[in-house]
Amino acid sequence: MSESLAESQPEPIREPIREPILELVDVVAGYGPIIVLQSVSLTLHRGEVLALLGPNGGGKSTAMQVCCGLVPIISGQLRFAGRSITGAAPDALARAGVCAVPEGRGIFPNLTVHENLMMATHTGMSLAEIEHTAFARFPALASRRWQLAGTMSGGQQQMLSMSRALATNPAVLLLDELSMGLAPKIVSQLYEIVANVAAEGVSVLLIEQFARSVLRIADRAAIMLNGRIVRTGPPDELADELSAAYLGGKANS
Amino acid sequence: MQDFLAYTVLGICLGSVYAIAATGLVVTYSTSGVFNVAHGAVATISALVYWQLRQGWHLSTPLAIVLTICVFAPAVGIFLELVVMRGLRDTSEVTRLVIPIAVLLAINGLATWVWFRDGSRAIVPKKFFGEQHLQVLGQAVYYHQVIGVGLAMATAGGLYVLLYRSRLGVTMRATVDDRRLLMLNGGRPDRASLGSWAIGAGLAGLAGVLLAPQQGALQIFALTLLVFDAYPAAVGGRLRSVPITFVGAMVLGLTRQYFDWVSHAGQSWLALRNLRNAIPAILLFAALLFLPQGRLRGAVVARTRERFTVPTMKQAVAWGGVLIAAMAMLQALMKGAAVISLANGMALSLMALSLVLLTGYAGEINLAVYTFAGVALIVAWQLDVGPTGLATRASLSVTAILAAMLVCAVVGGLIALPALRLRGLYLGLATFAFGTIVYQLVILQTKPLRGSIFGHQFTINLFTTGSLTVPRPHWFGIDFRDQRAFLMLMTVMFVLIGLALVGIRRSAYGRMIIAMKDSPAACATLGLNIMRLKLGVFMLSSALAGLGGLMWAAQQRTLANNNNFDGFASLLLFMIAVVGGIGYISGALLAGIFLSVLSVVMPNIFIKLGSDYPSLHWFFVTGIGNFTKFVGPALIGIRLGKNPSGIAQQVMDGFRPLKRVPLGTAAWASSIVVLWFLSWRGAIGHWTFALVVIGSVFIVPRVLMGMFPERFEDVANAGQEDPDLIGLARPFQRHDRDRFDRELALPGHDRSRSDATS
Repeated sequence: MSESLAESQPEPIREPIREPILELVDVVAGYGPIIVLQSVSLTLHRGEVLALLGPNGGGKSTAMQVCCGLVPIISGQLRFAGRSITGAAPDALARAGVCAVPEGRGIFPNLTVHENLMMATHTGMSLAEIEHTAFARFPALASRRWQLAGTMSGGQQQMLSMSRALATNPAVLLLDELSMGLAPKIVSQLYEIVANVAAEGVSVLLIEQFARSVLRIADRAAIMLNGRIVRTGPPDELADELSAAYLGGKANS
Repeated sequence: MQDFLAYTVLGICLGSVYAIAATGLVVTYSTSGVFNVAHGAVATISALVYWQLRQGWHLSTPLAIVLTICVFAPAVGIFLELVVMRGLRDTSEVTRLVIPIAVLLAINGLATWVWFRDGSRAIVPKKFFGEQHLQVLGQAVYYHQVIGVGLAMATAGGLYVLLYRSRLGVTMRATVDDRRLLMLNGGRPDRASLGSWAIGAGLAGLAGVLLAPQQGALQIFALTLLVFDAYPAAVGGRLRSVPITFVGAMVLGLTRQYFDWVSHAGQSWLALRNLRNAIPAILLFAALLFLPQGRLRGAVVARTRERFTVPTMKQAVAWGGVLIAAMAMLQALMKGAAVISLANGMALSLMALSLVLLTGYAGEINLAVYTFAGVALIVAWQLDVGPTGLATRASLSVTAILAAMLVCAVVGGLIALPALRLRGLYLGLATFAFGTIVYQLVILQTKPLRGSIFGHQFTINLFTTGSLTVPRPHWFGIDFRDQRAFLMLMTVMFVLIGLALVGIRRSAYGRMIIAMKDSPAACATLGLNIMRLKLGVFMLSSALAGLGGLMWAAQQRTLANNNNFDGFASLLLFMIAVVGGIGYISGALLAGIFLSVLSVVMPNIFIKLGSDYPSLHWFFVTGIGNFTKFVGPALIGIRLGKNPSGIAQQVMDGFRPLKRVPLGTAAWASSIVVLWFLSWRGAIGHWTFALVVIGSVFIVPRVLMGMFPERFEDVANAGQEDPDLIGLARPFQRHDRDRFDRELALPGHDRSRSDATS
């Protein structure tokens, strides 16, 4: 749906071809001698929502950690906006505009909400501005400004995490298991925001186990199994194959 | 009233210096998660550097201050962070405590080596502006003290703004919460850590320079302890809050000065004369007790792997036999002096055994092992020697040993009881505080305590004459005053206690202890009474510490109430026990032998070399010899970061291949016995024997692996097979576990192999 949205936008520069923003090219990565990603190639285009799906232990989170620089690449390339950024440090990537919301709650539990938002000021935006947008997006946070983030509910923590990520105006947003441990109502609220953000031009890589919740907002989806991308395509086409992937069958089309 | 005001003024002055020291501690803890035990040592060495610059080399005061506090001390902090503390990430709480202890001892050793290697000398730091002073409320206040108050206020204010209002400070605090997340947010945790260590060390240096003139002639360990006095303030602020720490420091300073006022500087009640010095420890204990503790948390399953394998009872008995036989063979070859240092080591090993149970198995910390030795000594002395001061018995009686163990268990229970809520670092601090209190009030007590119970008059002599002597045992018709016999007695005791510990570890009780260490929350949900379990382990371990301590005292024969008990010895023993391998009986053995050999034998070797080659005397004796003596053990402690499971584990891993080549191993063992026999008969030299045995330890396992490659194929092929099939296709083995450690990126087992993930 946002693909059609992208096409309707009168932006001549990226009209002819869909421009890749973040690319994994034949990436092999893992922990020490143990290979988790076996030659993964994946392209995230500008302004698109790509859902990376698959069962536990398939390498989804590793793929995300490769994208944000936390796991070093053994061979292959990581490219951002056409330039190779293989081997860049996580903080350099964050400053360049690749923003990640890691698995679990991406907050600093012993800092207040205010101080958590302060951590997003490295882009040069003022703290007041950041707070303004964050509180406008998530009014629930405004009243908890001076509360320690660790003492808030899971949903509020995830809201804080999202708003801090969005405050940096990232080019790419990486979201790992946003739905984990949250009430369905809050999850759909969060994904609505993700869809809105994508419509504003941010490219989003979503990682999910519970596929149904994200297929609705994704432009494309990829299924990852045993460290390989086994299938890429439009969400509705993949929906059927997903159950095969989860149940251990071969996902061949 | 006039006095009250005067002492208030003095209290504020003292409190200010404490505030500077304590806030420095808070900065490093709240920004790096490491409780920097070495804070006091940084302060001490900075005071010495300042003295060297100002009074030794006659630089101007401002220049010396800037060089010390803004250059030297922060450089030390940055060095520590880069070289040592950075490796502490993701290690267990025990390791995070031990390594700063090692750093403390290393820095103090270094300072001793640089300034005091030729014995004592008078280094008398001067106050700023000398003796110039103001009159405040009728009390003479030195300019030095006024400067201290001003700096304390500036420090507290500055730090508050830094930590809570500036992005840099918030980044520093965020670093402790979640480094990776901070990086994902574009923060630079490494820089933040460097900054916080530089600031913390700078504050330590400032505190050192301000405190040093209080002492008169500077003594390294005494000055370090003086900085320790500030710790209760930091603990009162839960190691995080700058304002509470500041208030705590003032309370501390005022309490000490008011006590001086009430007691006329300790002269009013002679028995409580040392209470003055115990006040900080008492306040530390109190602060720990009343500190609101976090609830039991289930989520803090440590991502560390310091797992210790448990021998079967059969293996343990076999190894015990080997140890006794080896010790008997070894001492037969050794000269008297060497036997004494080996026996000292064995006594220390006995003491370290109590830590295997407490820390290795149960994960609790006791930083006052020597205090229990002191308590046991006092009890045994009352029973076997008595207040007449004459040795009325020729033998240490079993009654005295049992009574000493019982009293130690009760004392251990008494400190553990209030401290049961505490865990890890806080429990360690509580035991350290307890050790200091006992040291000041009991062990330094030279007045006999008189009283009456149910009409019976009694007198308890503590260290009335400054030292106590206990007889050695005379059992089974053997006179253990003979050093070799006593060494063998201690070896047998070590084996028996070791077997008992292995038995405990393998029992249901042992599994409960381990479970408590791994996850108190899970234990609680399973219906275990954690409090009772903890109390039991603490009491048992205290009794063992008392037993070991008593043997150690009997080994020394006469013990003075000097720095054996002042806390540093306990820190050193704890550190070496962890380095040796705190989860292993053999770790305790290694620790004791190591401590004794390293601090006595190594320097002696270099002294010998120095006298053999006079032209290189400085190099061997002052350079290497003294350096190993003062700094060596601590440097080994710092190495621990690389292998948190300890040396014992490494040694055993080295020998593991031997199991698959039983014939080769038997041949090796019997050739050692033959060589020993030749050496004993004088056919080959003792040194030749020692060198051949030590060399073969390193070479033989490798040679055997090379000779029988087919028996080690599975080790070589590790990492190639499908992990799902391990355990089905073939048995699950040790190297598989190592592989999974790496795969799961569990740090700690061997960092060099899993660095890629950090």
